Amino acid sequence: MKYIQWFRLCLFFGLAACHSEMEEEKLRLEIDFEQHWNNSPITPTTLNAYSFENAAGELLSIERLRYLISDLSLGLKDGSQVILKAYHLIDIKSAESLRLSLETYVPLADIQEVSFVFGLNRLANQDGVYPDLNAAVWNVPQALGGGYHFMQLDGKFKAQPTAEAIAYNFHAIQAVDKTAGTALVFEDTFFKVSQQISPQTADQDLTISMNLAEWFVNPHLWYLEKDNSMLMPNFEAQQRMADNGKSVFSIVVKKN
Amino acid sequence: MVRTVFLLVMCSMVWTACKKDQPETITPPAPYVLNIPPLFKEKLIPPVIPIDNPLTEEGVTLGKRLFFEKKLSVDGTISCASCHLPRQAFSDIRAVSLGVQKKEGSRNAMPLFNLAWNYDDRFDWDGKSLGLEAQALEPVTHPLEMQNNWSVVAQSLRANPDYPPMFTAAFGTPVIDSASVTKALAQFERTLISANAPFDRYLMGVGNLTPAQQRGFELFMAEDKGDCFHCHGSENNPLWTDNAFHNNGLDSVFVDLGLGGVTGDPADNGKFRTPSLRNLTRTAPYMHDGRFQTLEAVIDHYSEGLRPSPTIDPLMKKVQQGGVRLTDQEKADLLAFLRSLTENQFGRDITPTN
Repeated sequence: MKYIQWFRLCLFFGLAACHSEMEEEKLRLEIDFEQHWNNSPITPTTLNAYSFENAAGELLSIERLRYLISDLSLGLKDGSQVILKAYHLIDIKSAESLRLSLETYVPLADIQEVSFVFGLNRLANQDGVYPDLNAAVWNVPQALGGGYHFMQLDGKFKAQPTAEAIAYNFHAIQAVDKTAGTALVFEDTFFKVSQQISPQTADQDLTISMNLAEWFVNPHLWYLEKDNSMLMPNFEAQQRMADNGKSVFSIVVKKN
Repeated sequence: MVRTVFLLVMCSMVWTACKKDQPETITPPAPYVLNIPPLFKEKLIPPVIPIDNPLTEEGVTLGKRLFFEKKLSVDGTISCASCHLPRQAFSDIRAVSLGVQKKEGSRNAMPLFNLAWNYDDRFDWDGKSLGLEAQALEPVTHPLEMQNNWSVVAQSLRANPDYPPMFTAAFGTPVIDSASVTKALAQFERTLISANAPFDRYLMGVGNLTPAQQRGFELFMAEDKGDCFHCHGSENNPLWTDNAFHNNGLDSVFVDLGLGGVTGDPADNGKFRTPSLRNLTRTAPYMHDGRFQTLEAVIDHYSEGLRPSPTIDPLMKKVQQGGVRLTDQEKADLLAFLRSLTENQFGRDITPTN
């Protein structure tokens, strides 16, 4: 009887030790979303003023910024992927949306990269299927193929400092060509962003950073005076947005 | 013998003491099952029900009784239902409501429905109330509304023999105060759900749209036409509001600061919460100050009547042209669609007695 009790005690401590080791393998990732204009921070307190100048020399304000990423993933050395979050809507006015706290049990040594998709890929971009995005009024009209916005960047601009302020609605969606008769022709405008990382400790901070100035310059110089609103049904404008978006994001790894 | 008597006395005292400590048996309130419409279940995330104020049958019943209770006002002349008329989808036919002694308020009474789906939980035209319970606090003491104070309200309700048992049934205690009254009112308000308009039936496949309604919906959803969907949602957001705050170009100079009066941020001046488009034909007049008597006037405003200001929402992109410039036919089509969002029966069966 005494030996059985000793056996139970040893088993308990043994399991407890194993559990503790497993706990240590749990990787906690804090992911911050930061927005800036050529390193000048964009926060709720910097909205509304004509503080930013695009490459075309236009002064602009930012009043609303929301964007969607999806397939936030860890790429492993064996070539496989672990999805951390299927999709995430960032709203610059919602502090809650600007920080993600995620946990994974992937061994540190196996991690090779972090990646995400700007917007939703064609398979995921189904009409009305995400209740939280519906609740956020994030949908794209069915006449444009349905699905969801990828980004809403709204504000006002002045072509010259003394010019009248004009509204802009820089809304990114899947490009759709409505000119080919009744059938809609789609072109993908989502794109993948990835960054090699080598985490050394269990607690890592990642920052996903968006430089909004890049939306207006690289590779296409963007004149808001020419293209400022009603861009959702503008097939060619959506293509240029997607091209420019590819230099917008960076992912930085920080030890916390 | 003496020892035995002493023991019996002691036992009796202990028994009595224990008995006193035992609470009276109170039947817990029965959970109220919110009848969530199929479209809401399919398209939206669950409603907001505060952990500290779950819906119960008794709470909702009490809240409904209080909604019609005129003793909430200082002179016993008005209740919540005086300005939020059930037959008007819980809105008022007046531009601004009348409080006690017929004092005019400053804003139009918002209709009450689907309030549990306001995910930011900010209520009133200017968003000053965080949560429905907080919203229900204000009218009772507002000098242009009920002009009462909460201790008088509590005293009046306690004097009515109906109420203490109702509060006990709802909250497990006969205590009547501002917290318990507003909790009950909020519970009742969360049960006011409107989701059975002709357009809902069309979406559920049990109704059709007229050609004009269909054209109006397409116009509503077109960014280069009405562009209404960015603020008022779509068939995928059957609330028909984003519950957010926008300056929709009503004024160039603001008499009422709206959200700006709450946040103190000049960038919020002239912004008001987007109202739902449901039940529009029953909720005239329109806008925060009830300035438009008809839906035609509202459509004209967005078509030709926008006024510029520094805080006008960028979504009012055609302000330089006065608005989106709809033709008469387009206006008629849009109106036809908007009317399809009205549920004629909503609220009509809610009376003080049923």
